[in-house]
Amino acid sequence: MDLFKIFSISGSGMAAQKSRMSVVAGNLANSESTRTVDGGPYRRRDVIFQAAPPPGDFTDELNDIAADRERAQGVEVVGVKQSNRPPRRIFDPSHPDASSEGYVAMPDINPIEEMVDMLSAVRSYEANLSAFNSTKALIRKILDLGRNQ
Amino acid sequence: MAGLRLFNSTHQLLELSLRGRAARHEVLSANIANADTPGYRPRDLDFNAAMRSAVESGSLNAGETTQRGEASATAGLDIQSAIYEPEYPDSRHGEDRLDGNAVSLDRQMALITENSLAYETSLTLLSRALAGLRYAIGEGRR
Repeated sequence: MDLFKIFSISGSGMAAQKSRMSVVAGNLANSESTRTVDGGPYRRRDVIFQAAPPPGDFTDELNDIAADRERAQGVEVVGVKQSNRPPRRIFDPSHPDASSEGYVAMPDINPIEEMVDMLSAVRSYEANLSAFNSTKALIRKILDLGRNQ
Repeated sequence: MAGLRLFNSTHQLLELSLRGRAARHEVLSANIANADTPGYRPRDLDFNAAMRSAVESGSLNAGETTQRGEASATAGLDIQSAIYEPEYPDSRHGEDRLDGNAVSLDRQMALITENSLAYETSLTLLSRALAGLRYAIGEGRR
């Protein structure tokens, strides 16, 4: 049982929340993008989280497998999924991407939804940071035990 | 004087307690990291059960430790079997979300704080016990 290993668990949580933040930022930035590389308007993206053991050194992993020990799970981003919600159709004949009927296909991005997602990511990030700091405090305390003797 | 040893069962017990608390800290940190992972169920470590089974299995034998020159008590703590998935009565309706994740951040933060304080308590006790030893080694001089 190694306290230092816990850093990588909390670290994986923070990294995952950060990539979620960047996806949310991308969604907000592209809320009016009518053109993408794939063609058509931008589609909302979402991260997929999966529980996975944090990367450790080889000996640790081998020992855990040999002892049939279940390892504490970190989290990793396994992918970014595009939503298949249909685009919003807005009547704006003057828009350069308007169809012959005058409708423009706009990304279906709801700012409130993105804000809620962002706040939730920030809170989760903070929770991981608190766990990280409390691990740090424990390690510092145990170092003090050696110093005072 | 047969029963008097330099490092007695107090030190072993406190060491076990520190190991158990550190293990629980790891489990709770993993819950917090997975607070948004679909389908993840939070886990916990039953610290009391782990300590009880370690004490009852008789691995806190101070004589054995000094003869072998290593702490046999470290083998006494079965962390793996103390990990379980807790059932919270209120989580079936309130906290279970559509994605099947049942981690409540508030609860996990409370548990991790409680666990950290318990860790520090054990650490302080161990520090006191060692300070007493040092006092005796110094023949009572400060």
